[in-house]
Amino acid sequence: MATLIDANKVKYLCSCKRLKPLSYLYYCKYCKPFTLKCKDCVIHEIDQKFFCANCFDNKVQKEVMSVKYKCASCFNCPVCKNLLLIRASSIKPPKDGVQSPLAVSQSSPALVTQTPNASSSNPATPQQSPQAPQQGQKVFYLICVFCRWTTRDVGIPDVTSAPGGWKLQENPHVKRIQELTEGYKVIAAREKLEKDRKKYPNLKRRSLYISGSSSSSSILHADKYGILAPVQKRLAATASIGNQNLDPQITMEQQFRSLVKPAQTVDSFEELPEDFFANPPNINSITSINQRHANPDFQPSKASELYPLNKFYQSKESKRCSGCEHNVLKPESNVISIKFKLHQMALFLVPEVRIMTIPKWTLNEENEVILSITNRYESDVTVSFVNIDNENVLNLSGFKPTAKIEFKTRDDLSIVIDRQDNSKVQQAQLKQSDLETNGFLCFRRDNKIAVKCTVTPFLSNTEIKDHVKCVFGLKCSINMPEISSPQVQGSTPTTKENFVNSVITHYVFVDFGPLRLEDGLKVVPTPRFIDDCLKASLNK
Amino acid sequence: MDVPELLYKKAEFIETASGNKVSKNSVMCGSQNIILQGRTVVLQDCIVRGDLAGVKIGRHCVIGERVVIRPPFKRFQTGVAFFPIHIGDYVVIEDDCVINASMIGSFVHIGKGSVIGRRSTLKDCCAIAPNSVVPAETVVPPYAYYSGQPALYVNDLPECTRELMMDYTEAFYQNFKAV
Repeated sequence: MATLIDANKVKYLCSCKRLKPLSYLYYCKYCKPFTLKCKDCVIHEIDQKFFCANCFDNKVQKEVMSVKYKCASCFNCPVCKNLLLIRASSIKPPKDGVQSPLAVSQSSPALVTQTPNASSSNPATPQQSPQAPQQGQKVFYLICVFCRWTTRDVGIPDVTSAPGGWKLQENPHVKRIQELTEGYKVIAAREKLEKDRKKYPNLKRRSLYISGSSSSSSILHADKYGILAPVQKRLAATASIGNQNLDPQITMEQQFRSLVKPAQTVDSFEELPEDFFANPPNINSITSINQRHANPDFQPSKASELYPLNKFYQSKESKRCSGCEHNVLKPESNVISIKFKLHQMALFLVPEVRIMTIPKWTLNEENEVILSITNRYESDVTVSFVNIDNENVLNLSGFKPTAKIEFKTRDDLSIVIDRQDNSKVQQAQLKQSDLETNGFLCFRRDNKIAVKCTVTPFLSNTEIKDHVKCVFGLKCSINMPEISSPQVQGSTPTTKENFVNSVITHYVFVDFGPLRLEDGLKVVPTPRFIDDCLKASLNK
Repeated sequence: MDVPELLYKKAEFIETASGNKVSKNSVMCGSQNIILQGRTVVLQDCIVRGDLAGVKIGRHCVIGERVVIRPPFKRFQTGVAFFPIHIGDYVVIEDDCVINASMIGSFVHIGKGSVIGRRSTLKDCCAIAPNSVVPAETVVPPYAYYSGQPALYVNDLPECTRELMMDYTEAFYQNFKAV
């Protein structure tokens, strides 16, 4: 619903002094004092399980690394980035012996020449090539149902078994990239070794590796049962790198040069052909900048060089508090599940403020506005409203208030918002204590209340196109379970939860939208249920 | 903004025993094949083609004005076959949409004027931006926000989408009152 309501109209202050909608904030129950965290204040952790967003095929990290995080069976269109679908077509038998047997149904005459193996073998004699599809056999090709691009457009041969098997481009610089990657791996390992040596200068150096003569002193040699076999293998690999690094005479640069051939300088470029300047360009045959960047390996400049793009594997993400490193969000491992093992969203703790009415604004006068407050915490929450005059808060994150919001009620008024009770449908009705607020609290239903406040826009003539913005404090008193960090408490978990009443003030930044009708102001009148609620309460 | 209040004339809507409110101005073709699980609101001028294949709509859904829900078809060598369409719970389909999907999960929001292509699948907790075109057979994963023509992934939805959608659809039903 973040897309249904204008979530950006009401923002809360995050611990990093940025303003974010409440639905995008998290909280950490271990951190004291209590603060809200946005996605920039939490540590993002990707799960080990990867999946393709189209076919939901899931793999572990090692497997996806070997395929470069690309799904083998799902492709995106290089023209419009939409998903490519597999289409089957059968090869019709020839009407006479002279014509090509590869007259494929659903294909245009121009495409017939690019049908399977047409480039490599003579289409008239398919039996010469063992891979060529036989007459009447089904062949598959990829098509974009949105822009009608097909793999036949660029001459990619059709395949006889779907999915997979399409002949895709191979990077001509694969060898060089591998060479460079391996070179940098060696340098990284050496840097790590040197760093460790600096870190522990007094540590007695003892070989951990089973390599050559040092095997007798190795601690891993004592591994009788082969439990450490994978570790040994890895350490042996790094040992070879480490042994190379033992000579301090060889600098890191020299070592890198010995592993990787230096790049060749290009002295001259081919000149652009005359046609480039003389003839008008054919826009349809040139790729757009987005199409070029979609395939960074090749960056095709001509439409005829566009090849299908593999879909990438995705992973779910868990989030940790940056302060205490406790998890704040942990999704379930099932890739299509929408549930969470740990789900500490600020929405479940902090009362949510929403705008209920927007009046036709009058400058420098009090305008009545109704705000609704919803409590999604598991117990009742007591709230009170604080007028903010503090300059430090007002000037946060470039938020310039252009109006003053006032809650015309007594200062010590605190309102209890009930917890959500899904077991029964409740009618909107005010309590006796609500009626004593002289109309300040005008609506109450289930876990939601609405309050009347006044907003005075103080915009000058030059700022008249600005939005009506204001800020106030929402003081919440919540009964929270007393939680000590497991790290501090050690191995003695509490059997009985103690509840502590904690009072937290949240700064709420409200943007009511444009001031004038000409700038897009949409007046939202007071809903009828506000008056109905009051009448029902008075009649009781 | 909070959920708006929507008032209707009692004579213009049919209210079923399970709390569905269906506009009399909407066309429900083949109503024996259309299942509304309860507390679902179908607004004016909608067309639901239950005559082509079964249409199952979950609880607490909101179907906006002038929406067309049409089961998807597939062309075979022998002819054309229509497939049933399943829509989950707490789904909001805004005005002027054309729905040809084979499956729409729960807690889904489809923006105004969008077109959902044939046999596409919208998983739980996803959203489609207004005026988007989701091409045929597209799969929209959970917590993804798709936008554009063709609709492509642009953003993530907040992890509390489920609760927000439940809140919106329940409040919509409560605020949808007869005059």
